[in-house]
Amino acid sequence: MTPLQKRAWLGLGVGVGMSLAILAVFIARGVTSFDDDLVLRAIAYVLCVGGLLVYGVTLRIKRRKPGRSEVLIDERDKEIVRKATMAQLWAVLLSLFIWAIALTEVYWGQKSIPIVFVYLIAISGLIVSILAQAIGILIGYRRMR
Amino acid sequence: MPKAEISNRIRRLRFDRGEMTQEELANRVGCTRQTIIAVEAGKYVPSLSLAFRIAGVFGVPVEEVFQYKE
Repeated sequence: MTPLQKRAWLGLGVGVGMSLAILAVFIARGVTSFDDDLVLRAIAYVLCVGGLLVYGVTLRIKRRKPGRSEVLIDERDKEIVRKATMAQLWAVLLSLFIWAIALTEVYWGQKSIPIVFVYLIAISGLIVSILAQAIGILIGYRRMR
Repeated sequence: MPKAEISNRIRRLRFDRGEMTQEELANRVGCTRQTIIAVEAGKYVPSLSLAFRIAGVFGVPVEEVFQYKE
């Protein structure tokens, strides 16, 4: 397994972990209480910023086995990352369009959207971005194995 | 445009050079062992630069390592 593949699995873990944690928090405290519940908002912020930081740190990790001088990232890895980044971009755009269409249709009559959705859109964008890149990298390796 | 296929003789050339390992070849050309595995299996077509480096390690012209089939 290449270092980039390991990083992709880590990204997948962070993305799934963040999704489950945020889902659990919203289920436990109720989505509708977001406006009044400061603790719920604080937990959501910590999970988002924490997840982003953990993911950012994983991008910087360069592990090398002791005594070895082998290349960690080569031209094939860069090609896979380039394709995965395109997949990531499309996945995030698609998620934004799904949010826009769904919210417009559901709240059309009220002419306003609850503020909680601004956070949910940001959180989902972050999670989709992390997951799409990780999945794109893993699919890229599977195809070029 | 017809699909082109690029085959290679890396496995054979490694064998001829005293069973050079994929890892050794990777280290000498500056790529990962997984990339050598993918190139050998025909799953990844290397850049010209990498192709020339691989040929250079074996001391043969690049067309002796890679063959283009239409």
